[in-house]
Amino acid sequence: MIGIMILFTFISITIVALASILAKDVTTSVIFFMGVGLGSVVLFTLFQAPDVALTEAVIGTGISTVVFLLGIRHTTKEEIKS
Amino acid sequence: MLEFFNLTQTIHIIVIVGSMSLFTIGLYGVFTQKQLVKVLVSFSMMEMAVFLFFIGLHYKESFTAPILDNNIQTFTNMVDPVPQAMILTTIVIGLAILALALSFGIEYFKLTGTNDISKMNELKD
Amino acid sequence: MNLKKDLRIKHIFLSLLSSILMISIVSILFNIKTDLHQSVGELFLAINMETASANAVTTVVTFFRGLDTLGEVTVLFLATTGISLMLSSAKRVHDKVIEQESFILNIGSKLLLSVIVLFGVYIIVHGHLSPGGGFQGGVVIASAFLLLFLANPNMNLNHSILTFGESISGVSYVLVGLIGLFKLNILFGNFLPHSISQIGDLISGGIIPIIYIIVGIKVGSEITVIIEYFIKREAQNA
Repeated sequence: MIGIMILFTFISITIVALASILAKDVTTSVIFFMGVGLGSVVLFTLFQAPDVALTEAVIGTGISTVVFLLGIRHTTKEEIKS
Repeated sequence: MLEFFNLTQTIHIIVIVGSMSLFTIGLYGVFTQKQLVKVLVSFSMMEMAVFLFFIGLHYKESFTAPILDNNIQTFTNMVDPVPQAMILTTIVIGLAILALALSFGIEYFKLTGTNDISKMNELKD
Repeated sequence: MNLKKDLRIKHIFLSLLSSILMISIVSILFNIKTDLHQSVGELFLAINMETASANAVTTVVTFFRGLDTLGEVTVLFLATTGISLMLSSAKRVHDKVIEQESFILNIGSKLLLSVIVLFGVYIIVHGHLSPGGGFQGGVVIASAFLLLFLANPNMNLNHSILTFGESISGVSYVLVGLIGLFKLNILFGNFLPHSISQIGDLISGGIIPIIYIIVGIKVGSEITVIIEYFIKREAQNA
């Protein structure tokens, strides 16, 4: 039972990671990377490591995405809204 | 068939193939992407692949998490706690280093106005 | 069109190179023996009962490998110093109305702040009884302040309290190690031993909850400072 769940989660993580790298827009890439973080939280729980899963859940899907989005905001030219 | 998927050797093979494919996808991203933030996303993806590989290879069948509760009263048949302790602190430090790298990129954008890594060649002769 | 054809060939070549690399790494890894007979972790589990803490990962992070955690905390401090040096020209975000301030977000964030901070403190203090600890709880507290910043980017944090908390926790971490050295001749020795029968209580485990509370304060204040520098940076328009 656990083996099939691990296999399924790994396949979905690989598909989401591929979609993240091949995306054209950089914001889409960051949102898909948050999906990879979510999948890895599930994997850490299945590997009997709850401390690591808790840390990755708080950091990977909260602070890391916000830091990436703030970096995008400060490194792209904004268009002047009329 | 279900018993075959729960063996330790099979799960180790799945972990090796899965985490190395995630690592390779991140490596491809580092080679080909032009925008700075996408290169940093690819680096973070390679980091995550190494964490999954590390914790996945220490998993043994029917061993439980290293925490006591009402049902488990002694420290026997538990997974190794040392790699979990190491990966825990490494995840937090990876976040701090990512913020530092992004602050360098922000300051560079303020100076020259480009975030294309093929145009950052002031050190070339 | 020629440029596009060059880029396409380069992408195909690089993806072939990456897949060849992956196949070679995987074929090397298949031949490694992955069952270890006697490792340090098994010895740590065998003597974990004497420290009266129910979470073995917490004991390894703070007590058996306390010096490594001191190094990680130092690396965090250095990274925060580097960020504050780079983004030191942070000015206040101008008071122009970029978008309408949301009423629900304002009131809701002020209501939720105390609940999230209480949750973070609970995770920190119960680090030796259930999954959790200083690192997780510190980041949860920082995310509460992130919620406040989302509602009102012009909010000013009291920098003196943040600096005081960060420096006091760094100094007291080293002091705890030195007290153990003077009393027991072991760096980070357990100078408050609790008996084994107290396992599972809130006050147990010697110096382990003390170290994790110090780490939690430090991590929480540092990540709050990092986020504040990123948000307060003046946005550069074209």
